[in-house]
Amino acid sequence: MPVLHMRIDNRLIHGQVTVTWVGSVGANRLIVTNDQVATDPVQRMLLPAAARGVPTSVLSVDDTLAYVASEQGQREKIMIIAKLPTDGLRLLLGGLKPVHVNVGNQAPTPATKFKMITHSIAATSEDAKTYREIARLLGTQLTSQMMPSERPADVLSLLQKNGL
Amino acid sequence: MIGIVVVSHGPLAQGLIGAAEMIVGAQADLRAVGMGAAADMDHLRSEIESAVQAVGGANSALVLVDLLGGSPSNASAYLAVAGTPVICGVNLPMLLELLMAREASTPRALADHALQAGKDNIIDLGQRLAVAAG
Repeated sequence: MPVLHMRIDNRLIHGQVTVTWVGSVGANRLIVTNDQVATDPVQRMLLPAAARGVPTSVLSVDDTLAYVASEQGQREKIMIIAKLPTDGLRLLLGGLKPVHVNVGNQAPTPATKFKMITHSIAATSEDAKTYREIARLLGTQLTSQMMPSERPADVLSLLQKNGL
Repeated sequence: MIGIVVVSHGPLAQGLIGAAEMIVGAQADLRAVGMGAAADMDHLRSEIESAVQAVGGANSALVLVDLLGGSPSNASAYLAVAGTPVICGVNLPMLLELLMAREASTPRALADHALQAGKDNIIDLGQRLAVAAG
């Protein structure tokens, strides 16, 4: 079973994810992927509680790849929430083949040169490179879609429109 | 007096406080934090923690958030782990009862009150009226 959906979202598991996305994707396992988050004891307690009943793992990039390849991972319908574009790229470079990759929220990092490409996605020129690489590896459209009911926008076009 | 911070997606927290003050008048040590669409989690967390400081500090405050699993509750998790009560699912009856009860209480007792008040005040009016009419 491939990973159904990878969402790149630095707010991790939150209202939009639990209330709309998990059901729409049909996932029965959530994995939050980021090396720092995976070592934060509060986040490791909080995120499974925040998922409101969907079994949830909080893993490093390497452990996510190992989990997806494991016998248990193969049996599940997995949705991954990668905190940062670089986490998503590392997963793809590690061989992950998600059906769909979507960018949710990326709050601006203070003191960086960012542009808001949507009202909830900030991107720097570094991020733009990462998104382009993700789209290339994916071979399909990298989308920006806040809600499953919204029409997806193409992230590469949004970057281009903003001179990134 | 126990301070109260209400945290929500968008303007709900401010709106709840506005509605409550319409009923019980202006309140001290009561703050709203409304998260915007492009909120950064670290920033949201520090906004909540500053608001808690402003209403009396982590040992003398209660945090009410709109939704378990939403960013307002996630950003309040560090406070919750450190012992400040954080109640998810805030509603107007809950907030009103807390504002009436917080003079002589502890954060823990007030938290128990919040849990009860939130649940007790969700009511089907038609059924209530039918019962009242016998």
